[in-house]
Amino acid sequence: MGKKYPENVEKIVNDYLGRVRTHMKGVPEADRDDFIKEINSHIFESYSDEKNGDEIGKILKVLKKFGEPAEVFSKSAPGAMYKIGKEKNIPLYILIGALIAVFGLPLGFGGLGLILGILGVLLGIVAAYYAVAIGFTFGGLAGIIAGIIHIIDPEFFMNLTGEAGFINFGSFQISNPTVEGILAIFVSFVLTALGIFLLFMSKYIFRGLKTIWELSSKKLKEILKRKKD
Amino acid sequence: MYYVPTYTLYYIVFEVKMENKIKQLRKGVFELVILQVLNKDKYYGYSLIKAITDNCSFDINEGTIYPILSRLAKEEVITSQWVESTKGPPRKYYMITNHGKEILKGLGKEFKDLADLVTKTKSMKKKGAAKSISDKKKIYPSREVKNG
Repeated sequence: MGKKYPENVEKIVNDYLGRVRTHMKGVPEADRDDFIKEINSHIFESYSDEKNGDEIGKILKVLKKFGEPAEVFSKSAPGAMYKIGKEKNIPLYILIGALIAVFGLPLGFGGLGLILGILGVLLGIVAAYYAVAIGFTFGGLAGIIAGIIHIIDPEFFMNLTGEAGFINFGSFQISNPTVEGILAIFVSFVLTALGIFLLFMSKYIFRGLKTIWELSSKKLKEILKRKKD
Repeated sequence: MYYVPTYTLYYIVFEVKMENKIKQLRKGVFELVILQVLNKDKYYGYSLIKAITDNCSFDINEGTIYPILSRLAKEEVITSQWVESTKGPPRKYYMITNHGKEILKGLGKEFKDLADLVTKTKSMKKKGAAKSISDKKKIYPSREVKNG
């Protein structure tokens, strides 16, 4: 083993180091360079020690052992140091197994479409989730403000809309503006609380989604790479 | 597509909780492990992680040792030095400082006390266990005779 990587391996390593660099924003440049130099040294030693497989297989194995930059250099490091056995790999097999069971598709080129589909669905879930949470929060806040305005100036909304009732569900009407206002504030408050709760919970839900996302996009990259080769 | 939400729910309920607990438990211990290894000799990152994983039965993201090392260096618990290598790029060697040795001593003692506590509480007898056993004997005296 010489002192240099083969050309195609070097490309992969450089790409990886580039990704590490993007996760080190805020670190002083001298420290960052030192860090990259050190990681490069590690990867080289690890690659030299790897005996089985071809060049590409070896470097991919080395990088897998090293860990994804996002995982390794996240703010929660060193917490990220610890993988729990191989558990993290299971969900993808479950997911893909389930998909094969449902659609009866082998995961070749057909899998590409499927995984793209999964990514699309995830994106949809994320967008919908935030839409609901933000809608609740701001809708609720607006309701509280409207309720307060209604108590202070019962005529305000009547002048604005020309309609008589502030709360108006078919035949259900309340004639006392203060009661109406308080009811509106209460309902809106619950709505806001629910919205904020959803926003708060999102970090837990997205950790799950993030894992599926990472696994799916990793698989997608693998498939794309295989296709190229 | 209901597999995605199902898995997400499973992940939220079980895996996140378990993972966090394990992370918390290992966090401090790994610093101690690194310091103990460096107390024996100087190591560069790759050799250090090898020294650890050779004794380790679970997977570790090798890369995450570097943020820990960099923090320990910042705290002046360890120092580092670049050394040219004949086999490839230069290696950054880490050494424990005198301050680090003191820290290691303190952490080591604390860990031993904690490990003792874990062992002791695990083998602790159930409250009132002795009583219930003797009660059983009274209820089933014939079995004792049979076995004897």
